[in-house]
Amino acid sequence: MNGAGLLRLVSWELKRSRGALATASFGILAGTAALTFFLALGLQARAVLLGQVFPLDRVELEPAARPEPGLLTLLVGGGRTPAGVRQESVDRLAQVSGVVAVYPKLRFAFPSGAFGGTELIGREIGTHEMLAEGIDPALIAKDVQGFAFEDPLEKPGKACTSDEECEGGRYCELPSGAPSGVCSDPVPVVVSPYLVELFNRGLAPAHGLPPVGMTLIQKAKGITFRFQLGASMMGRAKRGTMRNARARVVGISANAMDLGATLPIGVVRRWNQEFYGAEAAVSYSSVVVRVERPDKVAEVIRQASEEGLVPKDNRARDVSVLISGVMGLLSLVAGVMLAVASSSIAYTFRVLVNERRTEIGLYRSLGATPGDMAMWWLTVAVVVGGLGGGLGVVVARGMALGVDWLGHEKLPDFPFKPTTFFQFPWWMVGGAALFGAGFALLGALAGVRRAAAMDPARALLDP
Amino acid sequence: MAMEVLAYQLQGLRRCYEEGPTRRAALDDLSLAIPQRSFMAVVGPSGSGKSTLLSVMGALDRGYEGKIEILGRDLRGMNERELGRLRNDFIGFVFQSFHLLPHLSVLENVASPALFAPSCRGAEEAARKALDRVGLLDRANDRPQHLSGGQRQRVALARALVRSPPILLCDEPTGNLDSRTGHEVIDLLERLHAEESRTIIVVTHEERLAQRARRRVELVDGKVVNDTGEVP
Repeated sequence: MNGAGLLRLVSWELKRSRGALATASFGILAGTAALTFFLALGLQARAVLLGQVFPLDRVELEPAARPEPGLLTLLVGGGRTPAGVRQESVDRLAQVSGVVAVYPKLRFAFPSGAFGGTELIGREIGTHEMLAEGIDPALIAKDVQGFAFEDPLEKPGKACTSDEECEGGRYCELPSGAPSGVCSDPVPVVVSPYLVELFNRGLAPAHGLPPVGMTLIQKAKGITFRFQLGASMMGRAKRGTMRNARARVVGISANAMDLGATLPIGVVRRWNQEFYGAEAAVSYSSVVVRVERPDKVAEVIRQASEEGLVPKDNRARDVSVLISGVMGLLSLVAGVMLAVASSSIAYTFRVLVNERRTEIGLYRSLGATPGDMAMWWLTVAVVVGGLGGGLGVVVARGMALGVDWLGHEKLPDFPFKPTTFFQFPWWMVGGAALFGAGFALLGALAGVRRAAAMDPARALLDP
Repeated sequence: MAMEVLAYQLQGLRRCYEEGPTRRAALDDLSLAIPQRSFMAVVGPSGSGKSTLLSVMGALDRGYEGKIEILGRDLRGMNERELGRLRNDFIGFVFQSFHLLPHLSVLENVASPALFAPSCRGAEEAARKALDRVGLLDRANDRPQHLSGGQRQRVALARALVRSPPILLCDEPTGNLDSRTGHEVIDLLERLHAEESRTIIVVTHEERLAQRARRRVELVDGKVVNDTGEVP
């Protein structure tokens, strides 16, 4: 059979049997719509949760918690030195299969506070208890644009003894007890989107401050504030003299610590040495291990346990399992719908092929082969399934737009509320239509076989 | 002088059907040689094997034993694709029930064999010519259900002729027609044989049609019991 012939046979059949085929393909449409809708929802939920809230292509490892020190240990001054991750452990983790990179982190080992915000909201706000950590600049390089995220002292500076001697927004980085310091650019700082959300939903309303939207944060890039180093509301550092250091917000990153400021690790290493001692500068408080694929995380965790390290947070894994489970369940429901639709297609095709018995016999007498007859009905099934699947995707897209609209208009703001609740990648749109066609094909197979196997002589001469 | 290839060469043809625990031979050791340009009628009582013979000769039924050659081509070694091509190129069928497709126009019905040809190109033009030959060109755009029985059979005949096959197989072509339209169809078949030198094989109950054929083969219980041979 030639291609034009096949097209004509198929178009005639679609025209003649449009009612029956439309009814049969309704199930395909509904199943594909449900499948696409749930998959799109799941993909976006996964993207938001695992991309912004709990990134899953990485795992943060920290030393396992030590047992309570006990009264005697405390009395003799033990139990104060935090356990750390040694450089050797970092090197060994970097060798584990599937590990792309290992990024050490180093927390402030001394009390600190932070104050600023006048340029942003018109008055100074701050906290007398600031948490901060240093991070490998490579981990957040892509989140910092237009500014350098590095220890400012890596660049040479003018000697100084006070901020007044420094120009162009620089300050005098004068370590405790040193006779003179170096004029330094403000220390670059990134904050987490979580912190921004927390400020907007919790702190800002409580203090009568305006919420800090992303646009405002973008504007706030380059805004400076001061770190109060070596003292906080809880007390003073065990060594060094309280002093101020100037800092500058240079970006927002999901890799920044949730509650606190994130600085280049070199800066934290210097300050820890100044306010705590050398031991707080030679080991890391945790490491972030980035892996090729999420399934490599388990192996990294196993290897890390041999180094005495444990995951800092299992929420990502739990969320991933939960999302996968819910998506699987909803996809199963959609799959059942498609299976039911497939049986409806099977019935319709059986009836149609029976109705076309004489016609099939006639076509065979005119030169058609059993393969031609099979191709005719297969193509009808693919077109019906493909159209049903395609329309299903359109319906799913429409439903998604409706839900997005409702989400924007009716749902209150909540942390990490996305602009859309759905993701429709091209492969899913195409795949859903193909899936619909596949189920239609599956349903039609029995009818197709019947058409191909029909005895033309009996169909024509013994109708 | 070289011998002309036969339109059909049937040797020891046997076709059996299972009927419960027994096997019934619809064709039983049947042999026939049919030269090209023959006009042959196959007659016989019901159940004598006429329709079975037609479906076997039309390469529609492969469940036979024995040998069939169509224009020198042995059917035994052919696959479904080759058999399909053979039917499309060499054989035109005319059925008692016409088997016209009601959802298509007369023209589309006549052009339908082109669907299974290597190309559809020129099909409409050929269909118009075939309709003209049977005198129904003016009904090209009508639906078959709007035609009389005789007209429908002429459309079926045009469809059988559209690919200009050298062989025409007709199964009771006048069986569903009244006497007058039956005669029209018989006249048409006779004219086709005379003017276009086709091999025409007609299975029929009707004596008036059998008498117009140049050769008459009578079947009883799947065997040839009488063969007049070609009568000039």
